[in-house]
Amino acid sequence: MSKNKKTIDLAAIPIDRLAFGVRYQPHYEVMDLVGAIIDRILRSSGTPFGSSTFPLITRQPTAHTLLNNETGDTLTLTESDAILQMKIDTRKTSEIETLADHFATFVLDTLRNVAHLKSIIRYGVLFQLQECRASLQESPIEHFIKADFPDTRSMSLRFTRRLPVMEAIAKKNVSDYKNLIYTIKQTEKGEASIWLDYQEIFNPALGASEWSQRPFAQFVNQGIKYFLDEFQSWLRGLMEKTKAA
Amino acid sequence: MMSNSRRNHASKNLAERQGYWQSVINAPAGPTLEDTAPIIDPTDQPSPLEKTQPMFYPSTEAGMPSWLTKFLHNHGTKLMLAAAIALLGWTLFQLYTLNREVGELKVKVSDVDRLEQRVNRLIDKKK
Repeated sequence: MSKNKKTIDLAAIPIDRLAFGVRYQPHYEVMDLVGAIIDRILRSSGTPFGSSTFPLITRQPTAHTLLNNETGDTLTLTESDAILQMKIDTRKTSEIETLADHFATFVLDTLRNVAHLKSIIRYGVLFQLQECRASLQESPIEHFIKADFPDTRSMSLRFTRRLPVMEAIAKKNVSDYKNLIYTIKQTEKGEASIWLDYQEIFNPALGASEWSQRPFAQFVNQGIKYFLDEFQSWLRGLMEKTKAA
Repeated sequence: MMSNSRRNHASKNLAERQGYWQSVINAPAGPTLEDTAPIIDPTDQPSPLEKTQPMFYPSTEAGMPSWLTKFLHNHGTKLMLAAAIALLGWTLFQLYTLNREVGELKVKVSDVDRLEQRVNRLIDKKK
């Protein structure tokens, strides 16, 4: 667990939903042993993902999902993805770090130990803010579109950025990079939602030992740092200023 | 790709670093006529199922199968079953008719025998 605990300075916008995702090269042993994996996730000593968190399970040919209908929380396992989605209401990075530690310990380590998982190709963490229309100086439609189309009723804007990774700059045969997906939406009712998807793509894929040297919790900390720095800086621009004519 | 590439600590030279920036970080968009929308692959969605191999069909009549080939392909089993039943029926009919012929032959032979006996009696009387 991280010892450095920070409080997010988000003005009036706490984080509403969090998603952690690890993608790996298709690993069919996960599906062969999914029963043992789920048993261990649900029943390990100290697990935060027990039947009180996920009272239900659905099974499909290519995916098993633990879920909670009341909260909307899910944990999905496929032959190429492990995805945890949790509804939270927090401004504290410590809660995100704790959840990342739990995901790494009770889900990823279980996959590693039971299904001998390796060949990781992507880490991802998604931060979704609470409905934030009231916190924005202008609605997203007013800020981005209204000058061109005054009668716009709803919008969904998504853009991506790529950032280099030091190891890829330095090493000859490594082409890792960071992929950032920004999403801004406004419904016809006027509700505004914003989220950031922070990913790291590994090329070549991480082997077993390399995966151990790049813990998921460390990646999430990098995502939190980006969220607090660059993302917040951009978000403040929406909250404090009107769009220049 | 094998992860041995990571364990190799050989450094990128200047050209390779520029190539990394150009081809990975600032990868150029495709031609105007193609779909240049970036592939958005969010963290909270699993990888889409691999598409099954599409069926390929000939684009011209020259390559199309004939109506007979198509008919045999679609109805071959039924045709064979009908032929087998017809063959069986014909065989049974042949056996039946053969049996009748044998029966008729037996009757005709007995008629000849009776006629011979009558002729012999007439000859004897004349003697």
